[in-house]
Amino acid sequence: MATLPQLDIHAGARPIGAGVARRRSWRRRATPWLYIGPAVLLHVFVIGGPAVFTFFLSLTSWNGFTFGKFIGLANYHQVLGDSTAGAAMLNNIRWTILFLTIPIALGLGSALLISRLRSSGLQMTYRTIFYLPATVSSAVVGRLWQWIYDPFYGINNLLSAWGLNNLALGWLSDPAVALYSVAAADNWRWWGFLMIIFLGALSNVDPVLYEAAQIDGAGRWALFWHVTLPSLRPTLVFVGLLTIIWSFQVIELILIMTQGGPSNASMTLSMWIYQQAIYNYNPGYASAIAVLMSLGCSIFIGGFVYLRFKGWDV
Amino acid sequence: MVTQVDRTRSLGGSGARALRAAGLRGLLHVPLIILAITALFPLALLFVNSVKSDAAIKANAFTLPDGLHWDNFVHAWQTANYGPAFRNSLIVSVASVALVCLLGGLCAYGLARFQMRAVNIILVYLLFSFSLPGLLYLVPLFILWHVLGLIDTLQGIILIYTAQYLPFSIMLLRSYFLGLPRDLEEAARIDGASEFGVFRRIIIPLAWPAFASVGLIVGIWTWNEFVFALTFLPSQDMQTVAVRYTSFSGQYTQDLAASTAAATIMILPAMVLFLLLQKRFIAGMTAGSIRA
Repeated sequence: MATLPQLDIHAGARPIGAGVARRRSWRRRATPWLYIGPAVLLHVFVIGGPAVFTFFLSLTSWNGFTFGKFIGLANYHQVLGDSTAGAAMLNNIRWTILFLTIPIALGLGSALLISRLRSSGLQMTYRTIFYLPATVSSAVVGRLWQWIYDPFYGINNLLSAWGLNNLALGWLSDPAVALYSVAAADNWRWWGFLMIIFLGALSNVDPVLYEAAQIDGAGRWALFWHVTLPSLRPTLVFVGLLTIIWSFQVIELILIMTQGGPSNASMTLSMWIYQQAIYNYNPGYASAIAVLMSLGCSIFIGGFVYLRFKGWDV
Repeated sequence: MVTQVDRTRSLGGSGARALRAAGLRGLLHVPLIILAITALFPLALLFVNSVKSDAAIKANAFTLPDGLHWDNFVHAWQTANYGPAFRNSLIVSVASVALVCLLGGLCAYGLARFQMRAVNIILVYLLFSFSLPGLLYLVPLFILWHVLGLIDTLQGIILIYTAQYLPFSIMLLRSYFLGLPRDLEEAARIDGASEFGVFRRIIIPLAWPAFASVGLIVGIWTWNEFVFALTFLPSQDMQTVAVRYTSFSGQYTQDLAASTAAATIMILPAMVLFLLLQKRFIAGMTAGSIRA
């Protein structure tokens, strides 16, 4: 980067070799792209391009007889009257609220507790244990929790043995609880990741701030409210953004455990898109839902980028 | 702990106060231990059941083993057809990691060292690509891969994984490169090294911890991924372990002994890798995500 202005001076000082200089400056300008280009091209080819193409796909109809017939905005019109999409959207909102609270509280709480431990060996042990579930593939997490929720050999056996028959619910078969059962399984392997992020952020808090506050006579709660939390704000905003986006895209465990059932009780937007595209062979309609969902997510990202560019420390 | 006691005493506090402080510190462990149990219990359940007989699991999954049925693992390995699946997963993970490190490293270096307006545009593009749900581009990508004959090929899924994990890796590597001192690079340039020579001789050796983190994280992600692998690798011989496991445990839901053993085989490589290199792994996880 520092070489760029230097070379301009150089080229200006020797007008004789203008052709050479021009050729060289062209090479200078091309150099960054040799580094940046391959990765960006691959990404555009595999993800960016197809993502844009989805928009065109969303304007077409594919129902057995019509292969990619242009139908304008009819798919979008259909989404507005689609009660399953509405139910899925509502589930995504429930999921977002759950994941904005429970895993963040668990992750932040455990990070605060761990950071107060004196022995680094113990810190490491807890950190490792809490993160361990996050290394397990969704495929296994889903099956494992299916076994746990199984009405015949699962946790209900244990609950009734303890006399807690009221708690022996139809975890995945009862429409009132199915979504929350899947969310619990997802939370199990998710909050450890947040703990790691919060631990990293806590270790970056300037210790001078704590000392200054303590000299001013701040108690433990005052320290937390006036030093720890403000220092964690950028991390909290980032984690919140990540949670919102990922909650709107959630599919893996639902695909394995319930496929959106029973009777759409655990349907989410991504699951509905997958069903429409893969099971119902209706890529046009699936694309319309996907485009709307991505637009929703982009609003959050756009807000975040805008605030960053405005110079906010978020 | 000793220093804590000494300090309170020298401040004029009584021994009782130090004891109470130690007791309070001990209380920290109560919630931590409860959380540790909830984190470990399902895993322990999986491991214990993987050596039980099928009948014993179905009678009650929450009991200790009725004997060590190690043959569950042999049976699972054979019926799930894990041999080719492990080979496929290894090729896919290693190749994806190598490509991500190569392309991501070059790109991150470019984005960290050259000042152009395009840098900000690309950074915003990468940030936005985080918000693109996989299902947004899955269908067109499937059509494209079909046209190119990349369905059911390992190259096809390697390209997809590389593209998917590039944004995260570029963000992580870039923030690492930004923190590196410039002096060595300048010195190498004065000595006449080319731009690429600087990258190869100076940047890569200095930034290997960041590359190691990226490699580990991407390796474990690709090992575990299954939605795209399931869609783009339809035939059994081409499937990765995660896909084999998903369809096997779906077909053989009746044979719980084989299913739990297959699950254990599937998760052990990633888990062992994490336990061996967890410091590197966690450092990478935090560095990349906070600065993105």
